[in-house]
Amino acid sequence: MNKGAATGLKLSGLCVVCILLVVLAHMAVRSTLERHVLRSEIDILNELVPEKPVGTFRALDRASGGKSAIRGYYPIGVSRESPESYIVLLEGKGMAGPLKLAVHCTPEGEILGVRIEKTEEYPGRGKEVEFLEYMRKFIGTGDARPIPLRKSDLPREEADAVSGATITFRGVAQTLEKASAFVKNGRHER
Amino acid sequence: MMKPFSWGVFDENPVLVSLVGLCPALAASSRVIDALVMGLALFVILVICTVISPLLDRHIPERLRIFAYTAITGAFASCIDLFLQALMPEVSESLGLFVPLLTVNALILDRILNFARTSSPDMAFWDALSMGTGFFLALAGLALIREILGSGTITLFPMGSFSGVIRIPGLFENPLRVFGLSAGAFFVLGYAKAAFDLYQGKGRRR
Repeated sequence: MNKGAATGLKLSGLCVVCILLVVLAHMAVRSTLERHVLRSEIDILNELVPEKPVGTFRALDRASGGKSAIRGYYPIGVSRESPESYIVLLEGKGMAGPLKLAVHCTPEGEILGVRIEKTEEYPGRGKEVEFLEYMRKFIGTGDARPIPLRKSDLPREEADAVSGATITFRGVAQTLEKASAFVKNGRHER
Repeated sequence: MMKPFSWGVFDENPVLVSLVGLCPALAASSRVIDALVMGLALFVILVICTVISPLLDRHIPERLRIFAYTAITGAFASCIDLFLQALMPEVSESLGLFVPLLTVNALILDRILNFARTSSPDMAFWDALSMGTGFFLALAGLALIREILGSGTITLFPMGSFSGVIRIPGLFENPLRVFGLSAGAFFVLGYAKAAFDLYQGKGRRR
């Protein structure tokens, strides 16, 4: 075996050891990480629909395509057949990475509340999306009022507030529209 | 044995004298708890990699060493990041990308690629201990000043009934917010370096 191949093999072996180390660490903490995700989801549900009965989570396959994907939804309300509202969990695309959202919608698609589960946006370039104030512009849209998909759809002062983070704004708006359309079109009933 | 240890803490402190590895030092010094965790993470990675690197030196050609050592530091940085996410999710979120970024930290790579290779293993080990301690202490000091002035608090690890946050009367109500911002990090580092230089200069004159 020539020297180059031997060095290559040694480096490959080193990479395999490094990967194994990370995999072992991940296996050691996986259950704790899953518990954290579950706890944060429960916190979000309590914030969006305090004191309302929440149905069982229904996971969807991620084949819904496009720029955002619906992970699943919770029916809200006493009746199993006709829930009062839904909380849809989605993953959209921001400027720096995925945007994980929980959207509370009426069966008609009107957005009642939005919470951010996770973002990777940078401060000054979309990080503002994590503030509750940011989502106010979308509340009440989706049914009679359309969801603002472009900055030009917003009043001047709100458009100024999202300047410098157009990609994040578009990512959030498109994800919310997907959630609204999903509930409105009754695709969750299929 | 004392000399190499005091070397990294005082004479060649990576943050206050050599100005190496400043990215996490500035980014993770707005709260004391973040600085303690970041300092500890860098200390652990530096010591482990310094111990491992001499064992690999003769197997890896010089031109490929930087890639090999980046893979090793990356693996340890990822492991520490995972444990932080599981055990201290709030601190992990606050530190964000800066823990995985320890992979390419200038201090770690400099000590492994330059110092550890040209020194005996025990000397390299003491150097890693002293540099790691120097970084940890400098970062904790910067964070203490920044958090007290910028937020009027000292954030430590919560234990039992202690929430982890100590409020400084007077400053908590009227903090000097600039010290909590990026600009404040440079102010504090600049003045801390000046004070350290002054102290060392006086020491030499004596």
